[in-house]
Amino acid sequence: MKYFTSLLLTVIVTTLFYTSATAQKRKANKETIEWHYEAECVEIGLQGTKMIKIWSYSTKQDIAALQAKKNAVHAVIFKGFAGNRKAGCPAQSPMTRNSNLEQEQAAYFKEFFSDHGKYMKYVNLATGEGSQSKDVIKIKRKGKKDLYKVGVTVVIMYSQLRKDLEKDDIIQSLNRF
Amino acid sequence: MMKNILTILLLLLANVSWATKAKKPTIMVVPSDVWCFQHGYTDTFDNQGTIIHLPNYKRAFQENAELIVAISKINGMMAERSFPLKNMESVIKSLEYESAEDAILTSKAGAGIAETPIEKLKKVAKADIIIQLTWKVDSTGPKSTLSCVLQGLDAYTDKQIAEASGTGASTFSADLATLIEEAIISRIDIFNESLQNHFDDMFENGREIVVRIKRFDSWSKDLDATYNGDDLVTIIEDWIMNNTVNEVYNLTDFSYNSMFFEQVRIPLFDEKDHAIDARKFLRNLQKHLAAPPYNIESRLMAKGLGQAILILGAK
Repeated sequence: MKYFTSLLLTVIVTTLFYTSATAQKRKANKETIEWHYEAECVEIGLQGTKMIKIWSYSTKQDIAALQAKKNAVHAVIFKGFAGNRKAGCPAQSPMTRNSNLEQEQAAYFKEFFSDHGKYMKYVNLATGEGSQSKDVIKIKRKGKKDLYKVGVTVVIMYSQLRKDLEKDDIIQSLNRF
Repeated sequence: MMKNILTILLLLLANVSWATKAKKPTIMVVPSDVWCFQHGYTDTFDNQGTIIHLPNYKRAFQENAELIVAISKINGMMAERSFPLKNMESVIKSLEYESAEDAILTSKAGAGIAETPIEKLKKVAKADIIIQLTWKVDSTGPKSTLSCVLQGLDAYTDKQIAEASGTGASTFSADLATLIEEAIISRIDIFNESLQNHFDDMFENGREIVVRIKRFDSWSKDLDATYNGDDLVTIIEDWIMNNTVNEVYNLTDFSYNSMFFEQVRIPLFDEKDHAIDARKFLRNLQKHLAAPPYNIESRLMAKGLGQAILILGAK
């Protein structure tokens, strides 16, 4: 009887944990789809890479941090990022100049930005997975839950990302001749 | 049999894909005149009282290691974007070798290589697009910063078609080569974006070229000569208008001796889907003027992909 009780407890705890993790992921995905973020250059990366700080917004700190990688890859493709005069790092325009690209290639980008999608190949957290070294700003809102603006530094494999998007005919290559 | 058919099919396909490619411009990185002057790589001449400084590129390549670092970095990063550049140092060496070879080359009967003065004049390191490179180090006490400018210049229209410039972070310890490398790494993508805008514009609105029409003084007629009630200036202008993309061209200057067209937008392909450049474009005008009722003989000369001259009155 004691054995069954402990087994039942384990199952309940695991299910609760799994449900909560799934819900958190779902919420992160929902908020990621809104692409609410800001991106700025941190410093000049090594050749072929860009080191940027991505500021994501969420009512939960952890969710904002979860969104960082997707937001960072989205930023270099569609939005570009601001420069950093102190670091001598210039602003960068997005890889595509086609403002409708995301809608035109909706199926491609849905898969690209899915959980464990291709986007993961091109981004690393500069501070390491699960690291606590992130900047957090709490934004108080009247009559609403507090909003967290979480800044995480990431390294984007810029050249590789561009090459693969060119290979998949998503963006134009410099050499069209 | 099957293997042969497949080979033929593959060859045909390769031919089709080759035929539909537009003519690719050549690009070369060149140190700017101001950089050459500031680093002492110039030759000075006295031209009737006016002192002229001309860049001495050969000496710059032989003596300045940072220049090699900068150019090889740009060349490497452009090759990574599938757009390998011409290396100026190698071009200068090839020209020198060719010139030495031409000087001693003779046929069995003792004849030398034929070369007109104009051909001699044109034997310089050239490319369709020049990336002009300048950098400058500013020091404040122990701190130094590097400013870097990359300018993409169209060799024919003299227009700046791409640009990336800026100043790096101040540093106490980094050496010059590292600063240059950092400046190029951080700016080459911005430069390539503007270069890509230029190529996109070219594919959309045609290649921009410069056209000059001149006459040999031995020709009995001039550009005021009339054919079926129209003077030659109007006939040539009409031909240019009918053969440019969206009729875009600018007749900047004309007289009874010459015509100068700028911003002439020519299609990248002809009706047979063959790639065309300024020379091929003007070859059609040459044919048009050689036919009745004009029957005008002419000589066609070209400079790279974007500049052509038609001289009327003789071959």
